Amino acid sequence: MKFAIRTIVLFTGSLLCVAVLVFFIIGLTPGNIAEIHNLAPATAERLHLDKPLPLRFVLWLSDFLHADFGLSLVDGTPVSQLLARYAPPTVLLTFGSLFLSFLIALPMGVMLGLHPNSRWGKLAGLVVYTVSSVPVFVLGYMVLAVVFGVFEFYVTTPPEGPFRFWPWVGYYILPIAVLAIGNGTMGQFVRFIAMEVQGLNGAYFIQAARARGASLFRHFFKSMVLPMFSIVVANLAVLLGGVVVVERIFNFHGLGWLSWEATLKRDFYVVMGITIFMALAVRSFMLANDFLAYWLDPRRRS
Amino acid sequence: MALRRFLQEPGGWRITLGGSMVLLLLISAIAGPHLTSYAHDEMDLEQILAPPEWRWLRSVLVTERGSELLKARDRAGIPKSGTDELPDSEGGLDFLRMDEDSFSQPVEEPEAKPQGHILGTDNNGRDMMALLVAGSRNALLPGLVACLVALGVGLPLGLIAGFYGGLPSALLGGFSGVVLSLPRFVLILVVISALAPNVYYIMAVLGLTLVPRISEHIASRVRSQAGSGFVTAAREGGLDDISILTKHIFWYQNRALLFIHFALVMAESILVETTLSYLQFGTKAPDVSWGNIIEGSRMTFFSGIYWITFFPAAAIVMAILGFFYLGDGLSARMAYREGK
Repeated sequence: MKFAIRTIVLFTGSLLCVAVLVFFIIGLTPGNIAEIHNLAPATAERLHLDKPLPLRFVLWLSDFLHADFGLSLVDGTPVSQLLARYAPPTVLLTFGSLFLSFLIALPMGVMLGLHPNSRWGKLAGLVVYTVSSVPVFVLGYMVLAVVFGVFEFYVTTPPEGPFRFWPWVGYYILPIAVLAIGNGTMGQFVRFIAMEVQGLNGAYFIQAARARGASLFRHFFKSMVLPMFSIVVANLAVLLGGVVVVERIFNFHGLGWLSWEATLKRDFYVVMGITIFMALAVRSFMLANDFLAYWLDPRRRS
Repeated sequence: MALRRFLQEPGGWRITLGGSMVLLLLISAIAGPHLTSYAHDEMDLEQILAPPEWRWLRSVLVTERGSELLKARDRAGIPKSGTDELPDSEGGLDFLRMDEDSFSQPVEEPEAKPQGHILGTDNNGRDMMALLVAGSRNALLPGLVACLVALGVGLPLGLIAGFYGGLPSALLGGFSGVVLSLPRFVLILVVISALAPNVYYIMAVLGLTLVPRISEHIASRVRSQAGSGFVTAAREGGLDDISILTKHIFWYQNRALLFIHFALVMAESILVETTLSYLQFGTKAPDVSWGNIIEGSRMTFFSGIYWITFFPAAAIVMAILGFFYLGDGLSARMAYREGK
C-alpha cells in the first residue's frame, strides 16, 4: 500500500513538474501570443491569454483535467482532434520499431551472452554497436536516397482512406526499419540481454536445471521477463526522441511531425498537448513497470 | 612491451581506436584552417562539383550517372568568376535539369588539372576538405558546453546525493523522474520554440538532460564507498566532509568517471548537434556543420554525386564512434582495474 502511494505520487508529481516546466518555458517567451497569431479577442479570452501567466497555468490545468486541451492557434482546431488524428501512426511507428529492434536484438543478445568470448560473438557485438551509433538522420537520408534513386516507389504522403495493406506498408516500413536499427536502442537491447543471459548462465538454479535436464528455456524466460520489460520501458523515451527526428525526415505525419510544425509556428497549446501526451505515455509505462515488478518479484515486497 | 600490456588489458583496443579518432578530430578542430589549402568559405567557381581527386576514390565511387552529369556540367558552362552574381544552389545546378538529348553527343573529357580539392567541391565550389575541418570545430565546441553543464551539475549533485542520502538523494530522484519522462528532442523543441534556435542554448539543455545519468552513476558508487574504511580513517584524521568528498572519494576513487562521462556526453552532443543542424535548427547556414553540409547536398546526392554527402556522414559516424569507443573502453578498463 505504501509502495502504491509512493509510486503514484511520483507519477503525478513528475507529470506536474513537466507541465509546469514546459508551460513556463514557452510562456515566458517575449512577445504577446495573441498578437503574434492575430487572434480575435473572444478567442484570446476563451484561451485565457489575457490573464497573467501563473493564473493561466492553473486555468490550463483545470481545462486539461476536464479533457479540454485547448485550440490550435493557427487554424483553431481543437488539440484533442489533432492528437486523435496524429497519435495512431506514431504509436504504430514506435511499437513497430520497438518490436523489430527487439526481434533482431534477442537472438544476438542470447548468443553473445552464452558465448561471450567466441570470435563471432565479439564481431557481432562490434557490428551492432557500430551500426547503432550511426545517427538516425544519416541512416534515414541514405535509405531515402537509395529508395528514391534506385527503386522510385516510395510513398511519401500518408495514403488516403481506410487501411489497405499496400500503400500503408510502403509508408510505414522504412521509418520503422530506420528507427529500429539507427536509434541506438538496438545496441542497448543487445548489450543488456547479453549481460542478463551471462549473469543467469552462471546462477545455481540454471545449473541445477541443466543437471536434471529440465527445460532451460522456461527457467531463463521466467527470470528474463521482468528485466526485459524494464529495459524496453527505459528506452521508450529515447525511442520517442528518435521518432521526432525520423518523422521529420520521412515526412511521416505523426505526433513528431506535428510537434515540429507546431514549434515552427509557435502553436502554444499544440506543443503543450503533445509534450504532455508523450510524457504521460512514458510515465504510464514506467508506472506499469513498477507495479509489474512489485507483483512478480517477491523480493521487492520485503 | 608496455604498449602490448596496455592493449591486452580489457578495453585497450577500444581506448586506442577511439582515442586516435578523437585525437584526429581535436587536431583538425584546433589547427583548423592551417591544414587545408582552401578556406572553407572560399568559392572556387570554376570548380563547382569537382569530384575527389584521389584516384582510387574516383574510380570506386563515381557512378555512371554522376560522371554523365559532370560532363553535362562542363558543356553547359558554369559562369566564370568575375560576374557579380554568385550562383546560388538553384542556379548552380541548372545543368541537372538539362533535357535528355544533350547527353547523346559524345564529348571527349578534357584532362582535368589537379586543383588541390582532395575530397572534391560542393555545389558552391567550396572545398570539401576545408568544410569538413571547419565542421569539426562546430561539432566540438557546442559539445564542450554540454559537457560543462552535464558534468558541472551532475558531478556535485551525484557526490552529495550519494554521500548524504536523504533530501539531496530524493531531489535527485525527483529531477531524474522529470527528465526521464520527456523525450530529449521534445524538450529541445520546446526550448527552440521559446528561445532563439541557438546551438549553445540547445547544448545547455542537452547537458541538463544528461545530468541524471551521470549523477545516478556517481551516487550509486559513492553510496557504496561512503561506509568504507578510508572514509572513516579520513574522518578520524580530522578532515571535514568537503575535503573527504572532493579529495578522498572523488579524486582518489572516482576521477575516471569524469573522463568516461566526458566522452559519452561528447558523443551524444555531436549526435544532437548534427541532427539539429541537418533539420536546420542548429548551426545556421554561413557557419558550417556536418549536418548542415548533408542538408545542403540533398539535390545532388539523389543524382549520383555522392561526395558531398558521404564525407560529412563518415565524419559524423567517426566522431561519434570515437567518443563512444573511448568512453566504453575507459569504463571497461576501470572495472578491470578495480576488480584486480
